[in-house]
Amino acid sequence: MNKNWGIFNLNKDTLFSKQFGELKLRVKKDCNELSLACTHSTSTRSRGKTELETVHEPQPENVSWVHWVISDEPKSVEISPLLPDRPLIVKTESPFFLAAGTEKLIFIGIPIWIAVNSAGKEKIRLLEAPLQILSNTWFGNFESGELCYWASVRAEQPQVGKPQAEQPQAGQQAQQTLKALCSVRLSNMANESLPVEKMYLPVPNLTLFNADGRLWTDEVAVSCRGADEAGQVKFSGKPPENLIHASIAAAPRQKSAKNIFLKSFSSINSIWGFNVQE
Amino acid sequence: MNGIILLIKENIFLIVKVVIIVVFSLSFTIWLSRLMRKTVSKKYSAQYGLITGKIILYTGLTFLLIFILRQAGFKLSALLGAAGIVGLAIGFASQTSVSNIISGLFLIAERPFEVNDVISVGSVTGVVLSIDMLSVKLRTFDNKYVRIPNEKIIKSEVTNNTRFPIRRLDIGIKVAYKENLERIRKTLTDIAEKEPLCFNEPEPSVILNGLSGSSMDLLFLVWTQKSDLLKVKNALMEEIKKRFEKENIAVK
Repeated sequence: MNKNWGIFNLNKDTLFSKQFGELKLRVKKDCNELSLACTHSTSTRSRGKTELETVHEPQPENVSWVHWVISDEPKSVEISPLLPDRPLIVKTESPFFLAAGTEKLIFIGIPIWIAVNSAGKEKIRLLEAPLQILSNTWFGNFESGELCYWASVRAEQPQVGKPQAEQPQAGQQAQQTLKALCSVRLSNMANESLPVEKMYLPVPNLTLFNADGRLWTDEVAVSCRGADEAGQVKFSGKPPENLIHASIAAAPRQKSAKNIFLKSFSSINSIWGFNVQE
Repeated sequence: MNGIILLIKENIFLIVKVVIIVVFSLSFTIWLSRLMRKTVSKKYSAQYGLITGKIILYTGLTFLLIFILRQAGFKLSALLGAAGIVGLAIGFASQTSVSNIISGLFLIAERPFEVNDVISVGSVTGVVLSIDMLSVKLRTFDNKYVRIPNEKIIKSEVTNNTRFPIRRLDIGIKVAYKENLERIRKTLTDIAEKEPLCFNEPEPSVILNGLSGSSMDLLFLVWTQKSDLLKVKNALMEEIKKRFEKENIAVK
């Protein structure tokens, strides 16, 4: 496991603190009571602070704590990465048209969450928190649909000539440890070209893998039969090819059927409308 | 008094038998009614659970009453005959109640709202507690209990505020004519983007709704989950005030 994740010991009356990009996690132990708090800061300093460090500091004020009482005195906590709990709507870097019968591979960096468990005889999930607060968005129409996160991440193009395990090169290493890379293979099975500007990514159905300090999800294959038809989504369930020593960091939050049919490519601009009283 | 004691002594076994059967039957009926209400509520909806529970309860009580009357020696055929005449008389006198019952059946069939929905009828807004034979019961947000006859609901305009999962929040803002519309539009859009509970899609929008004598009337439209409506309204209003003060935007 990457040094950023794993089991961390707790000392009595000492505040354990860890910074993950915008998120600061604090854990305090008092006999068999654990107190945890997460705060997000969008200041430039913490956004640029991609190094993970452990500090001991006095108890901060104005922080909302979650308190746990556990029968076995917890001596340590386990921090692990997790994928978001809702699907993601991803805007492609620049909209494009996928010609009929064409296939394209793109990479999406999914902002991850952390899971904090008590590391003892009984493993208890103490806390789950996103590293970055994502905005809500709606996928569907006015009468029904699904609550999703809006990811202001870009779908990146693969670098020509590089094996999949080394893609992509853009972004600093530290930023990449805070995102899980998801490869999406788009196929246009229709007889007409397909406009691609936004994508619905069913993140709770993805498996999270850890390989050489980077986080990956299994590959998603999306086949589309037309702009107004439902697309078929398949999850490989395996880490991308050529990844060495990949281990499962987190199982899917939701078990999926082998194939999911959904409108991955619907432009949801059409659901906007308003009726203003004059 | 002596006659009553003698009567009880002569029929002690019958009385004990009836009491035991009534106690057990009543307990069983109430238990079954609650069980079916829970089960049907889980599987279908709270409204159907409520109706199922009441049907079982009233049916059980009716059978119990018939049993007690038979044990007491009443002739049911004569009783039903008398009940028919009495029923006719009561029917004429209770046209409103009958109308409410019929309206209740239409409400159940049409399903304009269900238990736990938030509805507005006239000036009353509240959470639907139950849809009964004669009336609908609401709990208002300041915890008042309101009973609305079914007939009134069928005849009135009813707004179901929670039928759909998402809601639009409309915030009216009046600004001075000297203000730059584009700058205000950018500020408001930025506020919506920074509020995580506001949806990115459908997109927030700012429209110029009118030009009154002393101000430009803007309408700031954002979408959110129905459960977050108040939270978002509060958060946005506070942020608009802060940002407008910071950017010296004059509000009328």
